[in-house]
Amino acid sequence: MADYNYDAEDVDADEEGFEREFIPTRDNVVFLIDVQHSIFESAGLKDTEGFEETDTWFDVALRVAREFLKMHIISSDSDKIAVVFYGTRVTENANNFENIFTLQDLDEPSAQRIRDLEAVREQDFVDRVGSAPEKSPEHLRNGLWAAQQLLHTGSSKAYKRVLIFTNDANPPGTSKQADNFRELIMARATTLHEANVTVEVLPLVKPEQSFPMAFWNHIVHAGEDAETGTSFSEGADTLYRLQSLPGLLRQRGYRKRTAGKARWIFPEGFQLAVAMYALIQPATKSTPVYLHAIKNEPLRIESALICQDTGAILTEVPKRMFPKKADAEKLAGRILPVIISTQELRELKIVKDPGLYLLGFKPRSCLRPWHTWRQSTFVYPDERAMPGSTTAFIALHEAMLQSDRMAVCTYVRTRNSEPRLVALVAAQEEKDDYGEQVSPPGMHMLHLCFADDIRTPESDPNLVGTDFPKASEDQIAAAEAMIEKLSMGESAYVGMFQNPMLQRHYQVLEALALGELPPEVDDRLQPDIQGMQTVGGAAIDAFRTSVYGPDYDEPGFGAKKPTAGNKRPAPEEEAALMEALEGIDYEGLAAKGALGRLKVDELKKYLKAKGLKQTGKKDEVIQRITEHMEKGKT
Amino acid sequence: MAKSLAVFAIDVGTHMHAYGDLVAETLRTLFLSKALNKPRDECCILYYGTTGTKNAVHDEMAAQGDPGEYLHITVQQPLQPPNASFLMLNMPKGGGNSDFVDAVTVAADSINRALQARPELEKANVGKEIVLLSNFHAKVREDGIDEFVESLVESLQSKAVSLHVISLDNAASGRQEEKEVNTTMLSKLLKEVKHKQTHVQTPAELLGLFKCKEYSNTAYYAGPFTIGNMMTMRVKIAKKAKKETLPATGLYSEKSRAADASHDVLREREYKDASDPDAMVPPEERAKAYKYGKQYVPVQPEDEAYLAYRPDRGISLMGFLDAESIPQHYHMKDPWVMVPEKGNERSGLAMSALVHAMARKEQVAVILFVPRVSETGGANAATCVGYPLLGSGQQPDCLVLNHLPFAEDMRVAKFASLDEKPDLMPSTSQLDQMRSLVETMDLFADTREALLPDLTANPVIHRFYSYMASQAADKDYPLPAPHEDVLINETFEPRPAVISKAANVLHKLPEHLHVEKKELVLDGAQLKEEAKPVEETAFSLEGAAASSVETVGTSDPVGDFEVLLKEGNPDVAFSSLPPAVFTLVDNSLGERNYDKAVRAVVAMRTAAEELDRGQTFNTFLGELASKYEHDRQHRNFWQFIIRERVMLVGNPEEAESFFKQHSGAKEEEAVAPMEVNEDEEDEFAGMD
Repeated sequence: MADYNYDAEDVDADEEGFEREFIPTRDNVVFLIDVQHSIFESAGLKDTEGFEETDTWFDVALRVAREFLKMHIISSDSDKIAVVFYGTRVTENANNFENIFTLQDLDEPSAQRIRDLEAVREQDFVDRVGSAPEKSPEHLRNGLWAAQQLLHTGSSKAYKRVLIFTNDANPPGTSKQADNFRELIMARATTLHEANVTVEVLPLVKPEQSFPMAFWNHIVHAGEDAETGTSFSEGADTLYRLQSLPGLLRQRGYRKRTAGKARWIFPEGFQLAVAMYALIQPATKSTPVYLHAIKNEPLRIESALICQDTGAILTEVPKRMFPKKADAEKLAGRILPVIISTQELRELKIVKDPGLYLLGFKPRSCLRPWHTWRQSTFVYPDERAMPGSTTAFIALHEAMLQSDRMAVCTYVRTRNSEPRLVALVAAQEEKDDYGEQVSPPGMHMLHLCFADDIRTPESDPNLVGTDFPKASEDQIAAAEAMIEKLSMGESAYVGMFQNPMLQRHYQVLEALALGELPPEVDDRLQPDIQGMQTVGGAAIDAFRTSVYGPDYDEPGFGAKKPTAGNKRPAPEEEAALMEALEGIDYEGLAAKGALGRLKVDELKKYLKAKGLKQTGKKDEVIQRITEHMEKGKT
Repeated sequence: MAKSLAVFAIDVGTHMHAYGDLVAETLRTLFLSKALNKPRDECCILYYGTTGTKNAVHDEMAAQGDPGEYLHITVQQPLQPPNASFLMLNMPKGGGNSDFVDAVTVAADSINRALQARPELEKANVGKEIVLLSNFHAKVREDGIDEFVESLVESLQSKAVSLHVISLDNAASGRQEEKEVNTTMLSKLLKEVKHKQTHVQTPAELLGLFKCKEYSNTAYYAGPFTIGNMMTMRVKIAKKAKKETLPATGLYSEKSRAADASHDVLREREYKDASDPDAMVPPEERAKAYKYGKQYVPVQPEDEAYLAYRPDRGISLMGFLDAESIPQHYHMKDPWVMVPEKGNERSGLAMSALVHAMARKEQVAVILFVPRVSETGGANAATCVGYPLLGSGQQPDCLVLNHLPFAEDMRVAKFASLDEKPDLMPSTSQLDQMRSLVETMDLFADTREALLPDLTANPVIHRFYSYMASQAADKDYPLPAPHEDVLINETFEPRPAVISKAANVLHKLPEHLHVEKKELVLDGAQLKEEAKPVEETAFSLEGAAASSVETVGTSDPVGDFEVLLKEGNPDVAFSSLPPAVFTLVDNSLGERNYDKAVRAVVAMRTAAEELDRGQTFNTFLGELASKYEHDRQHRNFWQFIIRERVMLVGNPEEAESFFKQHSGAKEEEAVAPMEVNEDEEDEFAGMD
C-alpha cells in the first residue's frame, strides 16, 4: 500500500501499519532441561501461582514450556521453540550428542505440540527416555552444543535464546578434573555467545533455598567484553526464581527488541542517539485467512485497481480527488472537488525529516490522563550508534527526575511519517525484593493528542445536563471508607489479567485444531464480587445509604431488559392489580367497542395484569387489549 | 433542517488589516470543514469596519428616514450552508468605523430574520451562535449605549443565541485605553448571555482556533456502573479523545478524456488458487480459517460463535489502587470519560462523592468495561484505569478512563541500570549542564503553557484543509513550503522565546558532552518503508498466502524478482530478494545453492542501478559481508561474491575500498556441513 492513501479503509490500514511496524522479527528459543534424578523431587510451589502443589520440578519445567508455546501462538506465532532434555539415558537428537534427547525440534508452536507436552508424564518419561545413571559435566556441554545446532537451523535473523532449567549449582562437579570440565563448558558457552545466542538460567530450587550462581554467572556472561559495553545495553541477567508462572512468562516471554532508532536533536546542534522499544504491544486475534475448501491451502488474494471509464487495469493512480466521490456528491456542487497529485498530497503531509526534536521541558504534572492516544514507547540510549549518547542521556534523565519535568519533542518516525508531538517522561529503575528488575530505567515516550483529537463531552449540556449535584462531606467520607476497603493492594500490578477474548479465541482454536469439542472457558476477568462483599460489603452499603438513602439502589440492566413487557408481576402486586381490574368491565366495554372511554392508566393496568407490553399510544394499547381478548376466546 | 446557525461577525477595520490573511485562512479552513463534516449547518459572514455598507437593518432604518445608522457593516454571505463563495482568499481591508455592539445587533437581526422565515429553526436543538472576532481596538460609542446593550441582551436571550468572543490580544499593539472601554462594555453584554470567550495571542493560536472537525458527543455506553453486587450508579461513557486522521481522498483516473467520464477507480479483489494462478476460487469453495501456530484451522460458521467471548454487558468496579502505581505510560488507547446520567440526581451525588474521595486519597479505580456484546462477534472487554476529574460549574465530577494492558500485551524486557558502567556516568559538571538545560528550556517562557495538547492544533491536518480550501477557490494557489507554514513552525519547531533563554546552555552542551556523530543506520522496518515508491502499484498482493509471485522465493529468485519488477512491484521485489538469498545460503548443503544466490545478488544490483535504489542494495551487500565474510560455514559464499566482483552501487571510490576491505579472506578451520532445514521461511514474512 502506498504510504499516503487516504481512503477511509486505507486510513485504518495506515493506522494498523503503524502498529504493525513495531512488531520486530522473530524469536528462536531452546528450552534446555536438566533431567538428572533430583528433578523428580516435589517443587513445593503454590498453586495460586499457576503451579500445582504436587508438581515435581520436571512437571514445572514442562508446564513452563507449554505455557510458553501457548503465549507465543497468541502474541507472535512465527517464533520457533525447541524442547531438549540433557542428561538422559536414551540419546536421541539430530547430531547424536550423547545423553541428549530432543523432545521437540525447533519449529513454530502448534496445537499438537502443546498437547504432546501435556501428555509427557514422569513414568512415561522414565520408560522412554530416563535419566542417565550418573551425572556428568559432559551432559551440559553436549546440551549447549545441541542447542546451538538447533538454533543454527533456525532463521539467521531471529533472536536466539537458550533457557536452561536446572537444580545443579555446579555441573563441573568437584572431582580433580573439575577445572578442566569448567573450561570445556565455558568454551561451548563462549561459542554460543559468539553466535549471538543469549543464555538464561532458571534455577529449580524451592523459594527459601539458596542457589549459588557463581558457575552459572560465568556461563551467562561468557564471551562478554567489558570494554565494548555489550552487557550495558543488553542488560543480561542471571537469576529468575520459578515462583510464579505468570511472573515468569512476563519476565522471560520475549527477548527485548528495538522497534526503531532515532537521533534526539537539540536546538543549536547537539545530538544523541536513542533506541526505541515496544514494551507494550497490543496482542490481537489472528485475522482470518481463506483456504481452498477442497485443497485446504491458503488462497492467494489479488487486488487490482480498475478504471471504471475504460476498464483498464491501472498500474498507478497519480491523481487524487478531494473530497472523495461519495462526499462530493453529498455536497451537491456547493464546493467542487479538488484534483491533486499524489506528490502534492505527500508534500502536504511529509513536512519534516525523521528524528526526535527537543522543544522544551514542562512539569510532569502538566500531563493529564486524556493527553495520550496510543501505547507508549520506551526510549533508551544507543551507545553503539553514537558513542557518548549514554552519558548525555543519563545526565538528562537525572536532571529531569530531579526537577520532576518531562521533555516535549516533535517526533517524526520515518521518512513517510507526519510529525507528532510526544512527551518523554524519565522513569527510575525499580527492583523487587529479590533484586529482580521490574521496571527498567529510561524514558517513556508518550504520544500526545492535539486539540483536534480532544473532545469535551463532560461539559456538553446535551450529554451531562446543566445541574451538577455536589456530594456532602459525609458522603465523601463514606466513599473514602469504601475505597479503603476495596483497595487491590500491593500485589496488584499492571498486566495482571489475561485477555479473555484472546484466551477464548485460542483455546477454542486449539481444540478445533485437534478435532476436539470447544471447551468451556472459565472467565477470570470478573470483579471478585464475593471478596468485595466479604471485605467491603458494609462499607459499600454505608456509601450507598449515604448517597441514595436507605433501601434504595439505582436499577441495573436487569430491570431494563427488553423482556420487561412479558414479565409477570410479583404475587402481591398481582393481587392488587386483579382487585383494580375487578372494578372495570373490560370485556363489556370491548364488546361495545367503548374501551376508548377508559383512561390510559386504566387500560395499562389490564396489560400489566396480563403480562403484556404497556408501551405505545392509546390506540395501540386498545388494539393490543382487543387482540388479547380475541386470542383468549379462540 | 439546519442543525445550527452561526453568524461570523469579523472586524475588518483599519487596526485589523495586519490580521487579514490569518483570519481568512482560519475561516476558509473552518468553512470547508463545515461543508464537509456538518453539511446542514448554516453560516453567515458579516464584516464590520468596511468602507461600504450592506445590511438589512441599515436598509430598514434608511427606509424609515434614518440613513445614518449601522453604517460600515457588510453582510458578505447571508445565512446558508457554506459554499465555494465562502472560501474567500482575501479579507477586505475596511476603512469605515463601526463597533462590535452594532455588529452583534446586525448579526442577531440576521438570525431573527431566519427564524421568522423558518419557524422550525426556533427549536432548542438548533444551535444559534454569533462568533465575534476582533482585537477590540475600535472604541465603542458611549452615549446611550447602556440601554442599547440591555435590549440587545434581551433579544439574544429570547432567541437563545450564544456568543463566542474571540479576542486577539497583542499586548504590544498599544490602544490599551480603547480596549479597556470595550472590555467593560463587552462584559456587560456577556453577563447575561450564554457565551464563550477565547483569547488569542499568537498567529498559531488564531490558525488553530477551530478544530478541523467538530463531533457531537454521543454516549458509547449508557447504563449501570456496578460496585460489587450491592450498588449501582447510572452513567454514560463518551470518547474524550480520538486521533483525528487526514480526511479521505478518492482515487481519480484520468484515462478517459470523455466529457462525461466518471473518473472512478474500482478496487477489485480476487481469490485465487495458490498453486494455479489463473484459477479463480468462487465463494462457495472458500473456507474461513484462523492461524494457530503453524496450522491453519478451518472454522465452520457454526463454530465461529464458540470463538467469541461473551460476558455480560456492563461496567463494574474491580478495586482501587494508589494513583502512582499506574503511570501514564501504561495507557493503551484513547481516553474516555464516565459521567453520571443526565438529570439523575442520585447518580450525580454518588459519582461526586466517589470522585472527591478518590482525589483526596490519591486513588485510581480499576474498572472492567464491557460496553458491547454481540451474538456473533462477542464482547469487547477491557480493563480500564479511572482517574478522578473534579467538576466545575460547567461540568460534573467524573472519571477519565483509559485502557490498561492485558498480560498478553506486556513485553517485559530488562535494561542495564544506568549506573552500571562507572565510566559512562556523567560528571557533576555535565549533570549541571543538563540541569540548567531542563530549567532554562522552559515551555512556560511566554508565561502560558506552550504546546498544551488541549489547545495545540494539528498543523498537518489544518494544512491539508487550508490548502484544499484554497485550491477550491483558486486552482493556481501554490502549496506553501513547510517552513513558511506558521502552524508547523510554531508547533514542531523550538520556539525562539524558549531557545533564547537557554541559548547559552545549548551552545555549551557539545563542549561538555562529547557525542560522536555517526551516520544513522536505520533498521529493517525503517529501511523497508523508505524503499517504498511514491506510486501506487497496480497489483498488490495481500493476505497470508504464500506464492511464488508474491515475493521472491528460493526456487527461482531471479525469475521472481524480474516478474515482480515487471508487475510494478519494485518494493516487494527489493525487500524480498535479500531474505531469499540469506535462506538459500544458510540452507545450502556445501556450495550447492551459492551460484543461484550470487545470480540473485547480481540481478538486484543491476536493477538497483537502473531504478536508483543503490542505497538499498548497498545495505544488503554490507549485510552479506558482515554475515558471511567470517562465517565458518558459508564464508565461501562471500568468496563467490568477491569473485564475481559484485560492487557497491554509486561512488566508485567507496565501492573499491569496500571491495578491498572485504576481499582479503582469512583461512579458518573447516567445519562439517550442517543439517539442512527445509522449512526455512521468508525472514520478513512476519512483517508484512
